[in-house]
Amino acid sequence: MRKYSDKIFTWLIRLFHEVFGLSPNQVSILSLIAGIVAAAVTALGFVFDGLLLMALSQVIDALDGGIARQYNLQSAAGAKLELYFDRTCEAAMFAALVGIGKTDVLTTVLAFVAIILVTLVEPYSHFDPGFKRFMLYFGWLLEQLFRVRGFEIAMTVIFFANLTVFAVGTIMAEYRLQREVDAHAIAERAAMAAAGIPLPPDDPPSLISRIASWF
Amino acid sequence: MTIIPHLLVTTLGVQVMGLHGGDIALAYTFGYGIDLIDHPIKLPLYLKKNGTKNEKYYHWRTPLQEPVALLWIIPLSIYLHTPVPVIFFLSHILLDYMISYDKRPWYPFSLYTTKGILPAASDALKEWTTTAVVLAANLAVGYHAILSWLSNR
Repeated sequence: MRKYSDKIFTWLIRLFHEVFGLSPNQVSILSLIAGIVAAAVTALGFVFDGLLLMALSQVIDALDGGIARQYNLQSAAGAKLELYFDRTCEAAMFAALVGIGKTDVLTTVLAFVAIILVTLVEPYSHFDPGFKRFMLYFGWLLEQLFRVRGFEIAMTVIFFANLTVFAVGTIMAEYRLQREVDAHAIAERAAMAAAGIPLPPDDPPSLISRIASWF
Repeated sequence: MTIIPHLLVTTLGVQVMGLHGGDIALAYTFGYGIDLIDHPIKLPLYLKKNGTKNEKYYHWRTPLQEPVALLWIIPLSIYLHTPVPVIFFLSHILLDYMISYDKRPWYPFSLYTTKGILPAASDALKEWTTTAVVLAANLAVGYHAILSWLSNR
């Protein structure tokens, strides 16, 4: 996904880094400023303009990582900074939408909590499909097309999608650990057998293992 | 623990709390249903390691039925405006933590492992005692309902 965005924004990456001389962290700060301005504009009631600015913030957001990768400027601190800034922009935008009554406080807070949970588990699961700010455009579209509380629906989707991603993420991480533990045990057993060391006796068969052995 | 004590504890909870409709479905989902999703996830790994042989203390559990799952179950309960998922999930893990095999309560955020509550006591004794106590409690709480069901037959 990131590599695709790097290809799409190649000329912008060059412009920001080679022409303007901006570092990835400076681009992250620009993205944060654009995100906060987007939230402020939304809070003033100009939802469409706010969303346009949010889109600009997201485009700039795609550039910092691109610059870091392309010019070999990646750092753990930079990745962390981007993460904090992304969450700050989301919190600001969500608060703005609550402030103008486009969505309710509880669903919005829960949606943000779910996003935080995904952020916490992502380093272990390496799984984050990104149901975050992007859903707000759909919320706006729903509001325009069907005259429904689109942002509230978007927040509900963000909440459930991220909660699911979190639960699945914890399972993925643990599954990987179990695969390693099992592989180690299998290798140990094989080494014992090769060395002629008697293997520990098997556990007595359970009812389920007896049934399974019929097949 | 096995299916019977989980079902009995869930049934007791449903009776004591006087749950209806969707809350009953939530109670059985979080009191027992998570087992049905959780164990099949590890089945391919188990079969790869053991085939059809029995490994008594294989780590069947995923974080779906560990305390770490409270991080998503509590927000879900708040969204649904009901404490039922949290209460019945807690009852589920309480029973599981009475059996003394290794558990990773906070994985992936911590590698801490535990054998649970009273690991020195016999698992069979804990399971049979729990089953007997909860069965008796179910019969006591549902006494009137059972009597009226019998008198209607």
